[in-house]
Formats: sequence, C-alpha cells, structure tokens
Amino acid sequence: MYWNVFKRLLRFSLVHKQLWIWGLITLLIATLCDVAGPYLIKVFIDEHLTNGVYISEATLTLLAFYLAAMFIGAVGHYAQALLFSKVALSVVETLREQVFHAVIHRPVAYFDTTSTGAIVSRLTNDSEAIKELFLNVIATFVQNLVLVTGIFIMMGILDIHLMLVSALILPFIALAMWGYQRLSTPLFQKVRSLLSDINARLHESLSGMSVIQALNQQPRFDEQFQDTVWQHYLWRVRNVRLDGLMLRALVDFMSMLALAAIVFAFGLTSLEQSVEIGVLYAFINYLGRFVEPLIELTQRLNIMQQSLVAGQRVFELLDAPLEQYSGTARIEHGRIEARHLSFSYDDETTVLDNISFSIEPGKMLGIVGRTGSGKSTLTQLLLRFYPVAPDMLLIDDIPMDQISTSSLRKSVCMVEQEPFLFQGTLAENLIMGEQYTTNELTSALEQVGLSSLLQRLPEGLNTVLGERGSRLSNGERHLVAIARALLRQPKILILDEATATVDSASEALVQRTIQRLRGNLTLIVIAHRLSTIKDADNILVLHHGRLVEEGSHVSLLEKRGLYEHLYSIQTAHLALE
Amino acid sequence: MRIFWELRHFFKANQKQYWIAVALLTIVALLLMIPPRLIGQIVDEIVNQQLDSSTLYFTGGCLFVLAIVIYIARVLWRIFLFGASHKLAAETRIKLYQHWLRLSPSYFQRNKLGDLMAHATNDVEALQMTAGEGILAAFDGLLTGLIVLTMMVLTISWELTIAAFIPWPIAAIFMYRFGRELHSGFAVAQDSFGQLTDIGQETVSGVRTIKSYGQEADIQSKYNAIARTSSDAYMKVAHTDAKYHPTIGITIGASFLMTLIYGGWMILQQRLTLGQLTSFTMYLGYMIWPMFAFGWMLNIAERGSAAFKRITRLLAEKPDIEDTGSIEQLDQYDLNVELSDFHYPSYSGADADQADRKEQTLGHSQVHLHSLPILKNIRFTLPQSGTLGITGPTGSGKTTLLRLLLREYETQGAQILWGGIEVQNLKLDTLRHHIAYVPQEPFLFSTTIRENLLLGHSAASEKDLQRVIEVAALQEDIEGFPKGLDTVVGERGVTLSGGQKQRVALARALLREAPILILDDALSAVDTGTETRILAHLKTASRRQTTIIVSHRLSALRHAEQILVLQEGQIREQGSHAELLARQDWYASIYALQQIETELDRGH
Repeated sequence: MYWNVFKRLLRFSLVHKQLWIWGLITLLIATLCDVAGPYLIKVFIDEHLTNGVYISEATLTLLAFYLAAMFIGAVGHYAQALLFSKVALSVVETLREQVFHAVIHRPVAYFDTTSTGAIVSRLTNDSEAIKELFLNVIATFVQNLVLVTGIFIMMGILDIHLMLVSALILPFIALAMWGYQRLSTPLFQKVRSLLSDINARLHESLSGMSVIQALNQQPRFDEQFQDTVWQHYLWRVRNVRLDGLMLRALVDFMSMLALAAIVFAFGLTSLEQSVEIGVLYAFINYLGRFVEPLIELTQRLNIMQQSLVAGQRVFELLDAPLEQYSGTARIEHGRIEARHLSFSYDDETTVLDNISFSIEPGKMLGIVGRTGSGKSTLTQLLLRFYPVAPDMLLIDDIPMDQISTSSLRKSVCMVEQEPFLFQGTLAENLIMGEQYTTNELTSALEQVGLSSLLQRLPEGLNTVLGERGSRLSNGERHLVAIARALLRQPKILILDEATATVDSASEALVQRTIQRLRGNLTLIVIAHRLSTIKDADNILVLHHGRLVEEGSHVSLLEKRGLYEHLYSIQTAHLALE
Repeated sequence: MRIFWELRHFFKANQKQYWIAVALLTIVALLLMIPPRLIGQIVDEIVNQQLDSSTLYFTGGCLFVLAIVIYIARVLWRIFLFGASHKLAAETRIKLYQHWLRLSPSYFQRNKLGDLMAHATNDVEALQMTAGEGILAAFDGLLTGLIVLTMMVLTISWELTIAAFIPWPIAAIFMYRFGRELHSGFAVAQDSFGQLTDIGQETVSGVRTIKSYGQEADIQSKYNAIARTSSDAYMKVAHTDAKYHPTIGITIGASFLMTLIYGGWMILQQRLTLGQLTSFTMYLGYMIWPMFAFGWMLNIAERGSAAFKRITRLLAEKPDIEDTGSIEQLDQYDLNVELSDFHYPSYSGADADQADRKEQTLGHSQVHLHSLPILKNIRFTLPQSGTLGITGPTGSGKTTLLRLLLREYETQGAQILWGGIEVQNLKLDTLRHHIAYVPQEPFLFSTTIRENLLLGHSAASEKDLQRVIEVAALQEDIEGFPKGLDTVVGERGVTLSGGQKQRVALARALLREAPILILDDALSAVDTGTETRILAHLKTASRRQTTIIVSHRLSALRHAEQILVLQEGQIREQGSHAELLARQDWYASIYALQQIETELDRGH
C-alpha cells in the first residue's frame, strides 16, 4: 500500500523532469570528482613518491587534476543540492495548493466530522513530512547510493580482492539498517503519539485555564500532565538506547572491523608478493568516506515511514470527491419553496421529515422550534451546505443544484449562530472580496447601531480585530456579521438566532433594521424569542424535524398548539403576576 | 557558551550521568588514537619488508578488540548523555505547566496561545539539544581536537601539522558565517510555516463563512501566496545549506593535498616515513568532527541560550493575582461590594518589561489617560442565600464585575467582602472552593461528558450526577447520545450544540455544591422554554445558595430580590423587578420591548 503512495509521490515530482535530470548529471560529475581524489594520491605515492620523484611534469599534471577535481566537485555538489531542493520544494508547494483547494471545496459535512486540528495538520505537518521525504530521504538516498557505488567501483579498479573484503560489511550494514527500521518504527510512533498527547493536553489546558482554576482542578491536571510527560520521557529513553545500540556506534564498529580486515588482508598479501602501499592509503581514505553516508541513510529512513503515512492521508484527501455544482441559473427574486423536503446527515436519523412550504420574494418567514428541531439544518440547506434531492428545495423555482454558485453566494446571506470574523481589520471583515466605499461601510455599521463602536476603535475601520474578532464583545461580533451580510444586498437574508447573544437594546436596533429591510428582500428568521418573529408573514413550527404548525402569529395562537405552548412558556411569568 | 553555565543546576543534579558520559567520551577519544599508529607501523614494516605474520595477527587482533571496546563505550555514553538531556526536556515542560497553572486568567488573554505553545515545544527542544548534543559537541569536539593535535605534533611532525591546517581557519570562518546565515534563514522559514498554519486554522474554522460568502478563490490565492513565500524562504535556506558540503570538500581536499605535498617532501628528505604519513592522514580524518562540532556547538548554544532566556522570563512572570490571602475558612456567604473605580491594568505588550508591569499593577494605572475606568461607583450588598440579578447592555461591565468578585483582577479602589472577609485576605483556593462560576462561553474538555461533569467534584456519586443533570435539563439530551454520559464530546465539545455545552457547564458547576453560584449569561444559547425550566429547578434545588445571575433576558432575573442595571460601568438602576418596572427607566423599557407583544396579545 505504501509502495503505491511512494510511486505516486515520485510521479508528482516527474513534472520537474528537467530538474531531476540536471540534478542527477551534476551529482554524477560531483561524485566522480570526489572519488578521483584518493586515486590520484595513490598514483602519486606509488608511481612517483616511492621512486623518489617529487616534482616532475607528471606530478604537476596530477596536481592539476587533483585541484580541478576538487573545485569541479565543489561546484557540482552545490548545484545538485540546489536542484534537489528545488524539486522537493516545488513538489510540496504544488501539493499544498492542491490540498488546500481540496479542503475548501469539500462539502460542509466533511468539516462536521473532521476536527480542525486534523485538517490543519493535512495542510501543514503532512506536507512538511512529504518535503522531508524528498529533501532528506529520496535526495540523500540517491546521493549516497551514487557515492557508495562510485567508491566501490574505484576500489575495484585499485584492487578487486580488497574491494571484496570491504564489501563484506555491506550485508551486515544492510541487516542492521533493516533491523533498526523494524525495531525503531514502533518506538518512534509511540514517542510521537505521546508527544502529540503532551501538546494536546497543553493546548487544551492553556485554552481552558480559567475553568481549571475556577474548578480548583490544578493538582489533578498537573498530575495528568506529569504522567504523560514522564511516559514520553521513558519511551524517549528507550529510543535513545536503541539508537545508541544500532545507529552510529554500530556502523562505526563495522567500519572499524572492515579497516582491520583490509589491513590484515593487505598485510597477508604483502608477505607473499610485492604490493603498492598507495593502494592501502587509498582504501583507508575511501573507507572513511562511505561510513558517513550509510549512517545518514539509516537515520533518514526513519522519516520515510512517517512521510508515507502522511502522503497517504494527503492523497486520501485529494482523491475525495469535491463539492461540485455546475448550475448556471441565477437567482433574481428570492422566492423559496420546499416540496416534501426530507433530510438526514447520516442516512439514519431523519433531521427534516417531509416539509413543504413556500415564501414569496420580499416576505418574512419565521422558524420556531425547540433546540434540535431542525431549524438550523433547514437554513443550511438553503446555503447548499448539504445536498438535497432535486425538486425538494427550490429558489425562484430552480432546484438548488442548478443554481450557479456565484449567484447563490451573492443572493443568499446568513448570519450564523456563532458568526465568524477573520483575522484582519474591521473593514476587511466587512468587505470580504467585494468593493465598497468607506461611506457604504460606515452606513452599514450605522444601520446595525455600531456607529459608537466605530468611534471607540482606535483606528476606526482599519482597526485589527484580533484572532476571531477577539477585540469585540459577542454582541458586537454579531452586529458586525449582520452589517457584513447587509452590505451585500442579498435577495435572501437568513438570521439564525442572530439575537441570542445581543443585548436587548442592540436587538431592538436589529429589529428596526429588519423592519426597514422588509419588502426589499426575503427574510428568514430563527429566534428563540418569539417576539422577534411575531410580525413574520408566515411562521413554521418545527418539532423533531416535522412541520407541525404553520401560519401567522395570530392564527397560530388560535390553534392552541405547540406554538401557543412555547409562547406561553416564554411569557409564563407574566401570567403569574 | 554561557548557556552551559546557566544550566549548571541541572548538570549538577544529574552529575553522575554526565561524569560517566564524559569519562566514556574520553576513553573513546583516547582509544581511537591507537589504530592509526598501528596501521602506520604496519605500513612502514611492509615498505621496509620487515613484516612478519605474528605482528600482523597481533595488529589485527588488537584492532578487533579495540573495535568492540569502543563500540560498547560509544553505546553507553549516548545512553547516559542523551538520556539526561531528555530528562531536562521533561522537567522543563512540567515546570512550565505548573507555572501556567498558577497564572491569572488575564495572562492567558493577553498572550497568544500559539506563542505559549511554542515555548513548551520549540524552546524546550532547544534546551534539550543544548544539554545533549551541545555538551557532546563542546566537550568531545574540544577533547578529540586536542588529543588528535597532540598526537600529530608529538608522534609525527609539528611542521606537517601546520602545513595540513593552513586551509582550516579560512574554512572555519566560512562555516561560522554559513551557520549564522542558516540560523536566520531558518527563523524566516519557520515564521512562514507559522503563517501557513495560521491561515489553515482560520480557513477551517471559518469555512462556513468562506463558503457562504463565496470566498474560496480569494482565500486560495491568499494561501498560495503564503505557500510560495514559504517555499522561497526554504529555498533561501537551501542556498546556504548547499554551500556546506562544497566548503568542507575543498577544505579537506586542500588539507590532504598540503599533507601530501609537504609530507612527500619530508619523505624525500627522509624526515618522515610512509607509515607516518598514513597515520597522519588518518588523524587528519579525525579532525573533521571537531571542526564540525565547533560550528554546530555555537549554533546549538546560541539557540539554547535564546530559549533559556525566554523560558526564564516566562517562569519569572508573577501571577497578576498573588495568593496573598491566609484565611482558609469562609462560613458566611453574603457579599458586600464597595467600589469607587476599577480599570483594567494596562500592559504595553506581552513582553513588557517586568518592572514596568509591576508598577502599573501596583496602582499607577489611574494616571494613564487611555485607561478609562471600566467600573465606577458600584455599591451593593447581597445577603446570604439571596439572589442578585445583573443586566445591562453589551459592554456595560457585567462580566468585569463578576471577575472582580472571583478575584481574577486585583481590586484597587474597591472593597469586596465575602462573608465579611476581603477577597484579598482569602486564600485563592478557598475562594474558588466556595464559588461555582459558570462563564458565558462554556469550556468543555475533550473527554466524556461524565469526566467533564466530574471535574466539578471527582467523588460525586451517580445519584449526584443524576441530580445535576436533571437540574440542568440535560436528561433528554444525554439519552439521545449514543453512549449516554460516556459520550466523548470532542475537541472543546464540538459535538454538542451551544445550548448543550452551556448546560453541561452548568451541571458541572452545580455538582460542586458550592455555597455561592454565579451564572454569567450562562444560558444564552439555551432556548427560553428550557431556560425557564432550569431556573425553576435552580430555585428549588439551590434555595440556600447565594446566587448571582447575569442575563440579557430579563425574564431570568425576575425572581431576584435585587437587580442591578449596569450601564457604562455604573449602576444605572437598582432594585427588585417590581421596583425597576415602576421606575419606568431602561429596565422597564427593555422589559417592555421583550414583553410588549405579549401584553398586546393578552389585550386581544
């Protein structure tokens, strides 16, 4: 399975074929220069120095070659490193853009069931892990493989027997690498998951500190935190032990054994026949050079598993179907009709059950129901956050799925239960990609009674609101969200409990604004306080996803049904007086 | 370098481990000097054709045994040294956490969560690197360097040594420069990665708003720009990084070349043997690590010392509210508030100078023109078991007032007496123990509902749980959850609706059976019917509790003996529901606004 992920990631990088090819060419040249050095020295020792020749035309030529190899090698290494980095970073950039695209075009249902942290992790940590794969695993692997191959070729040219003796350690190193992977992977994962536990705990404690303190739970949280930290420490130490046993120390050990074997074999040969001492010199030199790459490789392989898991998650996201609507119909009036509308989030529990109603352009619809009766769901369907069967829900007699996205977004605006403000200035939060004059912005704020806020903010419209609008109170955030919606002059405006956290004075303002707007656009208002929707042209009473009552305020009261009951609860204290 | 001195307490506390590691490192460094000498001798014997098989076997055996001993010593020092460094990480994390547990809520409001997290992750890692790899590089680098140098000069030739090291200082300068460049480049790159995280987080949190405003393309191009910046930043790092290898290659190559040129000349003059040249080359190979180690250590130490500074500064941060009180008993639960004025302490920024900050919290803040009083002239008493209602427009200071009652801020210019005792004189633990506070925005922990409730009172019985669930009208909701009370609520309780979260928070507070109950608009997301039910339950269940209810819905305050109407930080009206209605002021008009329709209907 991971093999496929790996192949697909590689294919991703093939877009940059040119970079790959140049990277490989420069790498080969650089490596050739690298391995040429000791060979040149060997020639100098054996053919000149031992014969008592020091300066001659031949030795100067050797010197020239040596210097050339050194500098060409340096340039080559610089170039190949840059080329491989370029490949890695380009791949990751493309991947990031695609992942982000996939994320924001996922249906809303995806965000209901996936935690924010997990999605953000796809965008950042996972793509980072893939970058590591290209930069530190694949590139290192190619570089070191070429180097080790080059070294062994040169060794073979110098002395095939000694080369074979050196090669004896290769299977052992391979075995050690394999064993290390097997043993370290579970340890590594455990350490990682404990670390993310620590961070999750920290994150949660820091965000909920006032609650922990108010509940006097500090000792308990401290204990839990310490517990996780020490567990992490214990596993970390296990990891250190394994690394100590199997990584650098072990490879160093084997290379020392190889050194002993080479010296021994060379010595044995010298007892029987004449030998060139430069060969031993070169071998010692070569041996010193291929240990480092092998250690590096072993360590880097650790990242590989992680990167492939990350890659798999990323591809799962990329492969998931996007939310796609290709409709072109435009909303002109704002008439809404539901025909036997039924809906379920999970195909098990019915949230909306056979609801029919219609509302003419410019009219106001009130929706009433207890918590969980399906009110919010109904409005979310109007925003096409979830797909419904065609012909169940229509705007201007067009089925939802045939409306052009841009028209839908322009024409239907909603002020949510917990409105979201972005990091940025007040103006940016109002503008959101459109174009408005300062006058328009100011008057929109006035409309919702925020002129005093505007004066209070140090830099007026250009005041940065902080993370999620943290500079504003709940009520103010809500009013800003209403202003934002009004600016767009939508055909349909949905207020979902928009007044729940706004104080009564602000609410009165919003009420007046609504009154002013009536007739200009279709209004859908969900309110806990029935007073908000008393004037609505039509009121829907939802109960457990079914439409139980419908009509005007007066007619509903006369029915003496659920609406009247809710109303009487709300006004119960008055009856007592 | 100072950082090693600053961490001395830790080294001292773990000195056994460090001594062992240092001893083992020394042993390894010394033993490593033997093989080049042995091999040099063999080479000379081969050249002079004096080699016999017994010498050869002896040398081979020696190398074999050395390899084993060195391996064992290397494994052990790693375990001791790195094990100790991870202990430092663990201890620092815990220290930070315990420190945070003591800091006041206002601290968490003025510091970004991400920044605090960064201290606990990156800074801790930097410290751990210093105590592990940093020590290794500093000690072993220096030690190996000195030993090898000594061997070269004493056993081979000082002239040759000088010749071989000619290229090195130049390389060292370059390496140091690259190191700095790399470090600053990394900071930029990491910062761009932080931006990537920020925009990701914001996008996902606000995805509904983005979708409903059709902002997908807009935010995508914003994101792409940041992704591009990030790639560019990392590419810049790569440019520096790519210079390392060639620099080392040239240095080593040049060094070998110098050795050979000068050494060859010495051999011709018969001042050096070929075997010595071989030994020397091997020693030269050993010098690569100290060269690396030096630059590496400088980087680690630099980062470690920055991290240490930040962590020290963090740990020195005093809680805004110091637990100065000594009274541990509170028997009376009446409240008396005499407040002339209150400002938020002003902070010039998260990293404001410590002394500066202290001055401001110690009462000089009045002179700051910018900090207008948040609360002014508030005086009231609440008898034990009484109920106080507080209302007023958004931003009128209701929550601030509650925070003062909980002593979340130091109360200069105010006297707040619980049971006749000033809040400053009560131990914080005691104060918190007696108050059950339900905030406007409920915070649930990502565990089961049961666990969340038990945070209120861990020893609560099943019966207690059922009781508070009933009072908070959670019965039906919990029955609707797949696993009932054992349903996991997810990160910050995302799987619950706003109203459900508020009711769980309420139940959690009720479970504590504290004699004082404070609800800060704690039922704002609960629909009116349920709210009425809960208030009715509360009225019977907590008859003896001293209760403070803040609400925008006046219906929730009707039964309070006394209601305060705040406006711009002052009491605008004060009295019972009936009295306030009779005054025909703000309260009455809002009440009318909320109820006028009802009245009209009753007229029909």
